[in-house]
Amino acid sequence: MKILVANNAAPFVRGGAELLAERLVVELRRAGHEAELLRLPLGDTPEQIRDGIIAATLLHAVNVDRIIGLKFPAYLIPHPDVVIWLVHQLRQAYDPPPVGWAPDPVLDPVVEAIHTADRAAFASATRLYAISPMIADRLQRSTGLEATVLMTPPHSEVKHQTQVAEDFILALGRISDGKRQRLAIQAMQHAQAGYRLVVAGAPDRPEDLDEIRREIDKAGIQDRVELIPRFITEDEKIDLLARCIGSVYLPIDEDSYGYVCYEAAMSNKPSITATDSGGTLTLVKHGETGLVAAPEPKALAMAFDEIALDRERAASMGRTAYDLAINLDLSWHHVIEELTR
Amino acid sequence: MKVAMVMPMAPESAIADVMSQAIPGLRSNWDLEIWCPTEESYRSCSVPLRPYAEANTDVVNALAAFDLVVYVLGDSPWHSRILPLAHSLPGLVVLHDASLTNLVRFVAIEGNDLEALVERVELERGPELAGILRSASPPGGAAEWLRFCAEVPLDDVAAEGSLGAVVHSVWHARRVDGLTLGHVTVAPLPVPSPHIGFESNERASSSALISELPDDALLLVTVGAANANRRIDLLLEAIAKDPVLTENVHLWAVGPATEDARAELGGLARTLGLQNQFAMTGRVTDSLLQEILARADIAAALRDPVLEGQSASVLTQLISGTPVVVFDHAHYAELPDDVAIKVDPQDALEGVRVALRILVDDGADRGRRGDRAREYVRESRSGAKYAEALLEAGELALAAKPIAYLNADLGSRLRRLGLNREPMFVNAVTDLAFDLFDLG
Repeated sequence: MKILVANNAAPFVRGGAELLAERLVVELRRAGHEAELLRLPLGDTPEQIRDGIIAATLLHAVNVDRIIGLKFPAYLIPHPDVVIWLVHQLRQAYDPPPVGWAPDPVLDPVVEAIHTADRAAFASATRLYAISPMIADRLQRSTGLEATVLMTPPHSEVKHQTQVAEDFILALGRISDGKRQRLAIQAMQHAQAGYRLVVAGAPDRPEDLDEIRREIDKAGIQDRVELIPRFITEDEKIDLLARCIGSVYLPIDEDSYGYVCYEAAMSNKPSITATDSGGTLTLVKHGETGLVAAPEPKALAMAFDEIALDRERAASMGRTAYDLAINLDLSWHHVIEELTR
Repeated sequence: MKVAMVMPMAPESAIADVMSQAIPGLRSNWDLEIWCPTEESYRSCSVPLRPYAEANTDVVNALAAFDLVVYVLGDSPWHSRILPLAHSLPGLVVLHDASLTNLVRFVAIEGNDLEALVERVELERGPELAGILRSASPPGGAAEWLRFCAEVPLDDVAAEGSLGAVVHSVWHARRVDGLTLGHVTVAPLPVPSPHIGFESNERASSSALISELPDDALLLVTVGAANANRRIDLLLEAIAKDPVLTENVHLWAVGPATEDARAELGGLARTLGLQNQFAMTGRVTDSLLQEILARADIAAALRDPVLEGQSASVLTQLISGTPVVVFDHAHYAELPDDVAIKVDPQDALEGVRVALRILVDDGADRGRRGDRAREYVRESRSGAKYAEALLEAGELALAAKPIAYLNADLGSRLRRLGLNREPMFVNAVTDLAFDLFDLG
């Protein structure tokens, strides 16, 4: 089959969705299909968003048997056979502020048009999948449409390792406001002695790193927080995961199950996440595969203490997390089979 | 070039009369056929005549074989089997009326699409006007309905997707500009024939009127259906207000009138003491109309609101050498100043009185204006001149055909996602098309 994978594009921004789209093309080709990736620009202003919709609407996909649409507005491209694997809707148009736009005379018509176009595209799609229960739930609430959950496999197929836990909890991922590493550092101010927090990942902006450093200095906990503020290699990541007590990952309303939680689980480590972290709750079952705490420093500190001071329990939750991750069958084989049937 | 002109061909249709005047000029340049809704009888025609019973797919397919289809539209049921064809197969539209509200509404009802039309009007003009369109019976009665028709002309619906439009005044052209994919051409409407096809009077007494009129009476006529927008009431009041006019002027309303209109205007004339100077002839034969115009000293055409794109009856009055009083608005404002006396509609009563006094007081001026009126119409109006304009409009419409394809494609893409009713998207896509294809 000749398949066009359609994703959006914010120039020079590269995150999980971009990796997913590229990997999907690779896996489709590996399965014997001809696949190409098309990225449609999506800006931030109402005019740019309008133009993004128009670009998708006017596109004529020639010599294509099927389009697999991932994100707004790419899944709006007209074609008789569009399978939507929904990474997420344009959340600014659906969520309440601060993620969504507040009512505004300029934005309201754009929001209305996005809703209208989305409904039409979803309703006419050959099949409709969502990358996580969270996304499927949001879709159901916003449009009343049901999507089949087809979770994304991990980006890499590295062999994760498990070693005896050393005295640190690991916070992996890009350092940014959205991932709330700062909240984990604030929690360390209330945590009991005897372990550290290791924050590893490249900052989105220099200001994000400055804020983290100021937080550490202000609390005087330089000896309890170790910063590795750069892109870390796969080997470094595997090593850190293998040696940690557990992982902490505190995104706000994450769309997917969270690769960070998945990788921790594959390393037999429990994860700590927040009640408002969204998709991470797919893998983090409170008291079974990790802990779910309120997004407040003291509540998180108690969760940190709970796994750090009871290593047996932490290891046990890590093993359960591994079993859960394996049972989800997050394989590309399964994904390709669904998307091309 | 093979061209089909779709128009009414009933003998009584005044539009058919003026369009037929262009046929000799058109047939010498086009391989022309006339397609018309079936009627009991038809006008004589020098090109093949193809009557059809219904505006169905067979007719559309047959018309699609022509290089160009010209659709003749006016705001009457004569055109109800023409408009659906214009929507199915884009062509050049000839718009005789500035308001097509009755036609579009009628066709929508016939096609079970009234609610969709109402919804469209509600979206564009609000719920109040949409409600009036649905019921067609505004609280103010017939006069209010005419005002509604002027305010919601639905010409955008009629001209939607067309390859161009022909109108009969600059004023109408300005209104239509932007409603069609192609060019808007102003064509000089010919004067209706002296013998349109009316062979019997509506009222037996009409023919006796002329002989009973005193020799020294000044006859003021207003020709056309005695609708609420003809302002016959205003003429009566202006006459009553001025002793000279009261003493000299007789007013005749020449044209069909409802019993309600007769009663209302007759009552007003009695109240003003003008019952012996006022007559409503009803519909008259072609020959009697010519007799009346020959006897008339002054004509008045005080349409408000204006619903037609040009006034055939004013042209008829001018060619008879009768000076005319009009409101200084719409297409009436385009008449030469030495032909018509134009009255500010904001100061209607006094303005009409003064205009009538000028014409009553100065017989020489009246004569000069009458001569000039006849000259103006003879110079500017003819079937040949009209055909020339239609031929030019046809060429421009052909040039617009690629735009029609583009329009259909863009429209279907927007409709697929429900964005065809989102102005910001329609405007942006239109702007894009204009930039890309240099449509400006």
